[in-house]
Amino acid sequence: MDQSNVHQIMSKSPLAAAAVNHKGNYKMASKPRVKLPKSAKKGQVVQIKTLIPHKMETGIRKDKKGNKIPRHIINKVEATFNGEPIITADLHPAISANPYFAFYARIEESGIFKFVWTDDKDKAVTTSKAITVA
Amino acid sequence: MSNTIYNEADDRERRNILRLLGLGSIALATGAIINSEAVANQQTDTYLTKLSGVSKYNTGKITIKTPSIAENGAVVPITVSIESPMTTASYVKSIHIAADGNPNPEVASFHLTPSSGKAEISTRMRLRKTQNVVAVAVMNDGSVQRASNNVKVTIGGCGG
Repeated sequence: MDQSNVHQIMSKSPLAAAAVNHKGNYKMASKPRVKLPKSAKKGQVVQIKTLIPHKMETGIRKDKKGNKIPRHIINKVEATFNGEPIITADLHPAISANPYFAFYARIEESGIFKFVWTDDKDKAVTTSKAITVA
Repeated sequence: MSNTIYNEADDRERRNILRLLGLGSIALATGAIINSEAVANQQTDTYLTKLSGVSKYNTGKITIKTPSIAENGAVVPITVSIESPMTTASYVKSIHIAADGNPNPEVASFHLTPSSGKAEISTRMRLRKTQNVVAVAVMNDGSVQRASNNVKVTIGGCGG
């Protein structure tokens, strides 16, 4: 995938804008984006959207010399609320670059969402977001 | 005279042989295509059976939403939703997504809990070519729902 192509795909989603900085350079797993409401009613089911910049190298592609480019993907995503698991995902190379997920959670109390992305090099990126029950 | 008759018969035989050869090669070619598709389907089935533990599926409660034509195979949005109350008594335990025309059938597996509230997930995946996308959902009672969607891909998404 060349840079212009990346731009094209990225420009479709405002969430995805984080993946390419102002020079158009590609950033590795760094700044995850999480979108969820700041407050909810007790028992309400809210949608959570997450996106993290990562090239998700498949391990099948070859470089110009014909050598295989080693696989390097985010293979696990976990979401917890006050320590209780909400959803976990096992990922494979067939997930697009800059993995995006949307899922739901039922909110019974105020608390903190924690999201962890782990890649093939065991590098983990964590972010948290609070939600208040009004 | 006899010479002419002999030639005609010979000619007919020659044509028949040619015709047979032609038919044979067509049969071989279709055979190869059907085989490679069957192998891909079988790989997907084996993979999903391994994950869900069953080979017989129910249908009806699970829906896959994908574009019917994906212009860019590198980014194909998909939403899988299952009708479920998502309570501790009845909830969706996991959702597995597979694609039968990719080098490997695996796409992603999601493990849900009753706190997920709603059995619906969305993501974006890569598709190498036009193919079927299959999703299965394992319920907490062990039953498994399955659905598949055909997605036409204009530009393949495996890069390189």
